[in-house]
Amino acid sequence: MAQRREEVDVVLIGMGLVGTVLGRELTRAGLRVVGLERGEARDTVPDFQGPAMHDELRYAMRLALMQDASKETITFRHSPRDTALPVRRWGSFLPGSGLGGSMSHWNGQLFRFQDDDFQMYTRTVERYGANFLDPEITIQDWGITAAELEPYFDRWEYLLGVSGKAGNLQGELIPGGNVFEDPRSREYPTPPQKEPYGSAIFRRAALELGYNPYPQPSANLSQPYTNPEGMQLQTCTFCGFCERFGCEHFAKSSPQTILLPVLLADERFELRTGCNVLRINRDSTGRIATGVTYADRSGQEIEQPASLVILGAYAYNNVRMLLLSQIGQPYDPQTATGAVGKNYAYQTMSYPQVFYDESIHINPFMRSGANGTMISDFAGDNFDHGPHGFVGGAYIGEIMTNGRPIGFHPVPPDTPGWGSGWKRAVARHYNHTSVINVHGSSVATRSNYLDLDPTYRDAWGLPLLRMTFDFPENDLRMSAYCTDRAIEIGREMGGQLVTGEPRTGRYDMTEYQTTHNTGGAIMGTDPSTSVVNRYLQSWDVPNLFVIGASAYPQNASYNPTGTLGALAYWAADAIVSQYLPSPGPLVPT
Amino acid sequence: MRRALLLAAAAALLPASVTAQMAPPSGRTPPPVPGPAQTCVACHGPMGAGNQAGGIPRIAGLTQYYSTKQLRSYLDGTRQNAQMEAIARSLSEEDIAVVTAYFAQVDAPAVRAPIPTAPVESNALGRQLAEIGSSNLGVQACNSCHGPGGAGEPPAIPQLAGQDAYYMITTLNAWQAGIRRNDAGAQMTMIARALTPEAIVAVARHYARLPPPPPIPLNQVSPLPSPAERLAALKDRVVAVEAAPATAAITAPRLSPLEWNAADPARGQRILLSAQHGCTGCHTIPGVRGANGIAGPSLAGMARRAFIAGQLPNRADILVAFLQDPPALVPDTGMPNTGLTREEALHVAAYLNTLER
Repeated sequence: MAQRREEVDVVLIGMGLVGTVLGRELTRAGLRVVGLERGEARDTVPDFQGPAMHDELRYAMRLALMQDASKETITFRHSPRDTALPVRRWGSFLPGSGLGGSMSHWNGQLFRFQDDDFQMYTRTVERYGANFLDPEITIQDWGITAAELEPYFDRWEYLLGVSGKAGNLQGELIPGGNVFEDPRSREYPTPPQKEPYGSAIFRRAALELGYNPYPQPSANLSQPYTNPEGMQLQTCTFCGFCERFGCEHFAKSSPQTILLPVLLADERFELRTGCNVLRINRDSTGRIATGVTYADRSGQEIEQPASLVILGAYAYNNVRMLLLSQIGQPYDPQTATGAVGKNYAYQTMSYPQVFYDESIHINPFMRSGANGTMISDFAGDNFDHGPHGFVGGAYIGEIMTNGRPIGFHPVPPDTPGWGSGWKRAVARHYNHTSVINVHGSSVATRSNYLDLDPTYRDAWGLPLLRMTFDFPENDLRMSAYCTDRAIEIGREMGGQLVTGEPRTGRYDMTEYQTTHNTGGAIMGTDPSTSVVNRYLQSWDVPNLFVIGASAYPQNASYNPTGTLGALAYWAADAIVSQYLPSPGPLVPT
Repeated sequence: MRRALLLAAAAALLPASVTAQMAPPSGRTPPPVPGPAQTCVACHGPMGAGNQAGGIPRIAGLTQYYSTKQLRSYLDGTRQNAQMEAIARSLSEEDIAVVTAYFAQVDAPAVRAPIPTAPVESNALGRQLAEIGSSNLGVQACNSCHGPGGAGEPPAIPQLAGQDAYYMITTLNAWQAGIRRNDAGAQMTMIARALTPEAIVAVARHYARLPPPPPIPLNQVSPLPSPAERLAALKDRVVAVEAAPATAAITAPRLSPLEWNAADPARGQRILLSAQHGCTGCHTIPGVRGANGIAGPSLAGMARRAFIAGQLPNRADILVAFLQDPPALVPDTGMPNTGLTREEALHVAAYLNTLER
């Protein structure tokens, strides 16, 4: 028999990026809010302090800040014909756990998806014809435009203090910025970070080839900054311990450094950590959420009633929560009916390497998580796809983040796999190699989806999420084309040897690529093909908002977090200005 | 006046012979002190180990990169200190290379300089700030950048362990006030601004009581040209000297705080005005009418000068001893014994200590 807590106005599932933003916006609107986080409380002081934080073995290899796979994991298979098995050791992506969510240990790479990304289906058909897409591709429009989202992108970037250089200021193209971006209303809050040497070599090569290099926008700040909430952030020290680590210097924009302390000081807000939400509860009609049930640290079940439920867990965990709570119709790939779980997508990565002469010192250890120089000439629909027969693209850049001793040891392809030959090659090439990042989009397909596993359960007895995914042919063709472009740039960079393979073959779950899992609870204009409307409100349960990269109908070339923050503010604004005065569906069905 | 009091308080602890206890921890014979480094050890102590009077930093073990940067900062105004500016200006590029290389390698013992007193809670606060940081103040652990135990992160980040407490307080205040601004990322500026006076004292006390780290072996500091390489290239420029003669010869009697406190600048001014001891005949002295002698140097700015007679550290106890019997401390000086008693010398020294300009 679950204990019942006193009813509140809002319950937040998850206290990462989404929980922090929504918690703040809703307490500001006068509501009483409870935030439930299944992980532990974490703060810059004491948890992220050095020198202990700079422990590569503990944090980067043994994943100290990540979810414990022995308690809850996912099962994985490539296609609906296969049997899914539990992921016992994280590889391809690293789900986090803990206050602040994955934004406490991200790299700070922050972009705005382009308008072409939001209207991907319509634009593709307009430009290339209805028959251009492979039949298995199920890309959709988002139901919003970049212009509508611009003030929210701006607000999010100014909350973080992002360091960058605008490429399009109110329609005027600015050389040196990303000239492919949609118009932004004003410049970035802080100037770009310093450009590392390897990235300068990339920039020179890209200019030679006629491309438009620009500094990567960074949420690791270039100078001290006070954000509109009064939070003070500091200058990034280029320590090279960014992704998978917390930042000791208050220099990485994370919930802890940009907003949480303000929220935690608000008496209308209550944080409960160690609370694992088991399901969203509904009334007898099934149309109204009445709150959630969660298990506290001792395993006791507790019911938290609330008038409004914000589901803001990690992207695919949002989908799992809907499935466990039986909200919406689960997607069936055979019949292509249902929407919960459909359009799961990822990211299509490759990494050409440029091996230099020993006179070129790259110093890979002096890096931040989001530094360097890149081009968007081959991202999204920024180039003519007509001759190529694929959709999507990749940004390309020398944006290395670290030279850590265990993880970073680039060697040419013919190097022995172990022994003195390998050691010689590591010593020879460690400080004389640039790795180019080809960060490619991921289209949605009929057979890539999420549902509940029929066999395996987590430590609380609940079915695990089952992920069915493999790279679509479209994305492999895109990767081949973009990797070739990157290798051309690599040659122009003046290396003695340039190597690189595009993404090929089956998806390898054991090799780290990115923690950019999207889709499964997608936003859209049609309730039969999406799970939430354009305000991220559940079509099925109007007092439930599902906010996360789960909303993305497909994944673009850029990293997801910039757009997610904007969507969080966009949804919060819709809740405060439209939903609260008049609760109910915000979009007629 | 406060600085003089601090110096006097420290001098009370000063043993008669300054060099008797100055032996490197390794037990090996210390390397010869290169010529240009004589200027440094006069204030920074033998081997740059620090000044027992307090307030002057230990420079032994600081990397060549860091020391060079600080000297350049004194030249370009991003650090401000009248004595250090003068010294930085007086050193050529080769001198800088030689002295920074010497101090980077020298294995100097710890020097017990004064540490401010504070309530017992300060110990815990200092340790917390060093190792964990403070959520309330919004500062990270000092050791995050300054290394485990404050041992430094060479070459760019200096050690804090064993550093002089009063110097650390002064320098944190300088960061806070923007007087010191040679940190491109403004990390130290922002951290200092977040610290309260209590926190500054706590942190300084914490590190001052830690043993200083040994110098970094040369082959760990790369890829800068090694100090040995630079030294080897400048070998014929390095003058080997047994010990710093001026410092070694100083046997200034102890000056107690009570004595110094009783020293009266007004009486010192009257002594000078009386012309009884002929001061005005040789010196131009601000505030003393008729003192326009040019045989000896002008005493304007005496309070801020680094040296007495061009070679003795300008400390209260030494100044008093010098005034009483100049040739005893500096045999070649042109200043004779003018017959000042100790009491008179105290008053005159107190007056000279008011001459900021």
